[in-house]
Amino acid sequence: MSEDRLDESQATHPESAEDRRRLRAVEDALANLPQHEVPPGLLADVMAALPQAAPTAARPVRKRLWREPRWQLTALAAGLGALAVGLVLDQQVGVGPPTEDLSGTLMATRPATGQAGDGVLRLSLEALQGSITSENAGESMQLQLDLEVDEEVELVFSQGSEVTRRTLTPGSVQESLTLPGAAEASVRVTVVKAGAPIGEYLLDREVSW
Amino acid sequence: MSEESDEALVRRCRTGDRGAFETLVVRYQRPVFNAALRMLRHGEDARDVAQATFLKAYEHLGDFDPQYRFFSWLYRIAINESINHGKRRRSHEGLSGEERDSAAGPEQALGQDQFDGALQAAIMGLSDDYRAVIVLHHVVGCSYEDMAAILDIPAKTVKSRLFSARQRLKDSPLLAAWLEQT
Repeated sequence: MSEDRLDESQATHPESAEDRRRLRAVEDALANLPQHEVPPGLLADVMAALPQAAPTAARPVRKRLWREPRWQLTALAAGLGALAVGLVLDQQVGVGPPTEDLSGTLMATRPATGQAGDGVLRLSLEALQGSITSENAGESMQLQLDLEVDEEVELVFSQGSEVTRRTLTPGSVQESLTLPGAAEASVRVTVVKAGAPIGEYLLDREVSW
Repeated sequence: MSEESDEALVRRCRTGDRGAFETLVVRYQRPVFNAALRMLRHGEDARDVAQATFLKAYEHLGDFDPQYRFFSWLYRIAINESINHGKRRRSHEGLSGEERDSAAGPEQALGQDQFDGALQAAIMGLSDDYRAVIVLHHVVGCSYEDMAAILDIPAKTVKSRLFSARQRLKDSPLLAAWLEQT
């Protein structure tokens, strides 16, 4: 604002001009506020009151994170997450108790395995003990069963789509069995008790489970 | 010989050099005392606040962040100590600041001439926030940026607060008679 216009404004608005004059007077007075001398003895009193120890940084307070609600919630969520992952792994990968340890589980019994040695398959199950001797007989396979049966079981002989079943009741079993067309093939023997396999074998070679 | 910087003195203080702190007290006791005096009006109160300010500064020197200016930090302590001291006194006396200011005459307050007493009484009539910017700018001589750092507010707020504080002083009835004469 030019001097002329300022003068004109002050003439038009004498109150604002008076305000500016008073404000300028206050600012001048503030700019000239006197400084007062320090009371005698202040320095000595300060130095006398200083602690003897050198100033050190305040020891940071170790936060106990687990006491904060948000960390408690985080820990709870992490725990639930770990539990969920564990359950999924247990179902998909089979992480759990050893298959041999069946106590307290609903897992199916994994059947015993074995193979015939020199044409003789030896069985040693709780429900069944003894041997099955195999011998080629032309186009067929001749089996000799020498078994002691303690509980009713079923023997299932399978070779491809050919299946032969034999139910054994408790007692001594000594009998012959012919499997037609099985001379050159692998014959799988499954021992079934109460509808569940308790042993599985091959008559002519090793079984790899 | 050049004067040792505040930063160098602070570093020495932290190693237990009390002489370095004494140098800092000598350097800042006058502005700190005058700031407290203008904030509180009473000489004895100002002396107590100045002493408390330096003691608190020494005790917390280990926590001082060297990226800030030492005097900004010191003045912040002084202003806060003054405000707290004033509140305690008002609470103890059961008088509002305005009542106490009216009760105390200029001679009783500063022992200066009548105008100085009237101006100080008018300053005491301001709120703590307005009084702080007046004191920091006109008594201590801080820049807007320093005041912003001390009061932890934006520089724009400092300027507007200072403008409002001066307006209130201009309109103070305590200064009306003097302003009529000038």
